[in-house]
Amino acid sequence: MESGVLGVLLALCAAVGFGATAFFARLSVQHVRPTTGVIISLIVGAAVTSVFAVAMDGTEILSLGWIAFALIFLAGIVSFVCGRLFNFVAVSKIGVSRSSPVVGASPLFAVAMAVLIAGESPNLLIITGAAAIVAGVAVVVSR
Amino acid sequence: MIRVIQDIGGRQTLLGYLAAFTSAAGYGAGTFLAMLVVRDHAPAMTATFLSLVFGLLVMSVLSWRTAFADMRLTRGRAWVVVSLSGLSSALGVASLYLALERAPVVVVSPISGANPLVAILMTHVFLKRLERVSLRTVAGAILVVAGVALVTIGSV
Repeated sequence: MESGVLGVLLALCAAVGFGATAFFARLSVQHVRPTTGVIISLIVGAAVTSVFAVAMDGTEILSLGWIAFALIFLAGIVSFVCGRLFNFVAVSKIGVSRSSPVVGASPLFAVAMAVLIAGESPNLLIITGAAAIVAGVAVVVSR
Repeated sequence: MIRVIQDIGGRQTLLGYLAAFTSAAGYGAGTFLAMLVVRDHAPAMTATFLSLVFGLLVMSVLSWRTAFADMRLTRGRAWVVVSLSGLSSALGVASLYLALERAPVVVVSPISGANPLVAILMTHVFLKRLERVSLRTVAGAILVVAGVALVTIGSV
C-alpha cells in the first residue's frame, strides 16, 4: 500500500480512537467517578504506549535530559490531570454530543499559546479557522 | 419544585460546559508543550508514554482514596468500558504518530481532528437511550472540525 494512503487510513484510525475515547468515557461515568475513570484509562494507556515507545524509540528514554523530563511532566499534568479529567467531568454532566465539539476546539488554545508565548503570528487561514471554531462552539452551547 | 429541578439542570449544564472548556484548554496547552518536547528534546511516543505515567502518578496522589474505593466496588462490565476508553485513546495517539510518519500534517491533522463527529455518530447510533443528538449539535461540531482543519493548515 502507498505510504500516503496508509497515512490517511491511520489518521482515520486516530479520529475513531479519539472519538471512541469520549464514547467510552460516557459509558464509564455511568459506573465510576470521573477521577477513577481517568486513573484506569491512564493505566491502560500507559501500558499500551509503553509497547509502542519501546518498539519505535528503543532505549531513548534513558538519554533524556532534565529539561525534557520537566516539560513532559508539565505536559502530563495539563493534558491528563486537567484535559482528560475535565473531559470526563464534562461528559458526565452534559454528555458526549455537547462536550466533544467544545473539547475538540483544543487546537484553538494551542494556537493561542503559540501566538502569546512563542510569539508566532497568525495568518488569515488561522484567523478564519479560529472564527469557525468559536462559531461552532457558540452554536453547540446556545439553546 | 419543577423550577428547582430546572435550576439544578441549568447549573449542571453550566458546570459541564465550564469543564469542557477547561479540558480544551488543558489539551491545547498539552499540545503546545508536546510540540516543544518533540521538536527539541524527545521522540514523540516516548514523550507520550512518560506524560501518561506522570499524569497517572499525579492523579493517583490526588484521588487515591476515592479511586481505590471505587475500584473495589467496580464490577466486570465497568472495568471493560473504562479500560476501552484508555485503550482507544492510546490507539488514537499511536495511529496519529504513525500517520504523521507517512503523510503530511496538513492531511493527517484535519482528518484526526474530525473526532468529535465520530464521537457524536457513535453516541447517536449506540447511546440513543442515554442522550439525544440534535441537528444544532451536529452543525456546531462540523463548524468546529472545519475550523480545526483551517487552523492546522494555516499553522504548517
